[in-house]
Amino acid sequence: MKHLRVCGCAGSVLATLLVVLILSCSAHGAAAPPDLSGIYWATQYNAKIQIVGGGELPLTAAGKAAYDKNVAGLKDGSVIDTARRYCVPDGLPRVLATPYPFEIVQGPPGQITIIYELNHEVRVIKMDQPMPSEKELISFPFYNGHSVGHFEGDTLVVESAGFNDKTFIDATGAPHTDEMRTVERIRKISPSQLEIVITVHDPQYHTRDWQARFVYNQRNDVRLEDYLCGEEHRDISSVRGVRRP
Amino acid sequence: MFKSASNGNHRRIPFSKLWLGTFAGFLLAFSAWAMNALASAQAPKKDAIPELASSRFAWLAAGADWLDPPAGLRGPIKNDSDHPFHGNLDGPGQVTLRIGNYKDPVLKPWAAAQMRVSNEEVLSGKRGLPFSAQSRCYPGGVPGQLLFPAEPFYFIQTPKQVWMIWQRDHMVRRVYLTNKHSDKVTPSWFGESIGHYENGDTLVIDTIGLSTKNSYIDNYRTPHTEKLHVVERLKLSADGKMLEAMVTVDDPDTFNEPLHMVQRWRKADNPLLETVCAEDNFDYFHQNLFPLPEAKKPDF
Repeated sequence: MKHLRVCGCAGSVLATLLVVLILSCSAHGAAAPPDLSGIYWATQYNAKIQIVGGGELPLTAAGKAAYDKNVAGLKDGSVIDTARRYCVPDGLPRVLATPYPFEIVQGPPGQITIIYELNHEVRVIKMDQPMPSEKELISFPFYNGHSVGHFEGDTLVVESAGFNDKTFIDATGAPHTDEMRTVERIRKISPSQLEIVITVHDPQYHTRDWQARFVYNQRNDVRLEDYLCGEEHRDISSVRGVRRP
Repeated sequence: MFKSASNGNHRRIPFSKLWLGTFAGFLLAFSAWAMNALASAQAPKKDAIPELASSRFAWLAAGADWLDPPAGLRGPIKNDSDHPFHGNLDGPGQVTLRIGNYKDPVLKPWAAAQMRVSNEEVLSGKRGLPFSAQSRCYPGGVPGQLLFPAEPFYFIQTPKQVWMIWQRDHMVRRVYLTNKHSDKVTPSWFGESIGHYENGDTLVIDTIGLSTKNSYIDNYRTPHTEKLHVVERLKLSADGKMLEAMVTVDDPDTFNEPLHMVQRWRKADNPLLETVCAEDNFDYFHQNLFPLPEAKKPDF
């Protein structure tokens, strides 16, 4: 009897450990995504997009013509930078250059939400879902596009399509078409730094896919503020490259 | 007991008995887990939080005017009885504009005077439509933002924070789930909101630090001062399909007593879309609309 009691007890302990292990695996196992949530703030701002590998944007003839038109129009006032003047969303990839902080929220369930202080832009990233149909993308073009995401190891991969063609690639007026598609690879490169590498695919205006890289500091000491066009906003003089006009 | 297991006498435990013990242990552990799960399902409701957030549903407002609170409580500002309000959804008849009752005795003289001026601007035809934050791309403030109809709003809930995101112009309010306001709060459109859950079905939000320029507590352009203190009690119905806010507005420099106002939403199966207020938002009918927010000089 004593044998049974002893081994029963040992077995119980063993089994309990196993169950605990199984349960905790199912809750926090390989499927658990890395925690990217938090507030991030760039330390560098570039009006002109800096492409990986250096050099100029690889524009097609049509892309070059559109760029020249935007640059001339911004100068003579026939083209308005509506993102700065009326605070409509910046769109991708321009919003990634924001000199204001933004926050990544891993929620609600099945979604990651990126909220920018600048123009209180909100990006909805639907996780592990297919991209909406072409019909839907064409019918409802968004400034910031439609985004779906998934995790590859420690990296959040966000694919976006269904953009309108009202936004610029950057503050100099570099153009894109409404057929642009982007892939962002978002990951922590240190406990306090976030990296986003965006690949832009837009064959009408760009001769090849190209990439741009953005790095942000995690700033959970900061709270995002309200932002309204034409009002005084947060001091962003600490961000290199920012020039108050 | 563990000690005795290591005694030489008891070292040889029959294998079959070990398995029996393991199986019994499994049963024990499993039943403990199952009981635990059952217990948490039946846990006192007060420990639960209302499920307000989803990527699949949102909350659509019942209308753009405050509803009356239960009898006995001082309710919202209404329209001027000399200028009855007839909205688009009020059936046949000439649609009229909202002319607030500046004669309401709850108003301090300065607030009554300001509302009267706003009314005159509309009645004289100087402005074809009165200022409406949401149609002119201004934040609705607190509690005014709750009155936005036609497009739904969304929640995100995390253990430390709640976000309220309106599809319309992607306006964002943040509620910090803490019990203390900051020592120094710089006035802003949505102020500083702190909150907590009650009774498993209610989110209570306490807001201070609300700026006053173009900020109104309703669509009658009822103003407020920076002393405004708003408590919103957002209660989810038992079936989870309706959300009701009981809002208390306290501002001793504007109102002679606190106002109590109600808003309701129904659950709508909409994912969050992008609606950009300033996109092609022109004064098509030459109504001298309130100008949109505009940065004469770019911000950076």
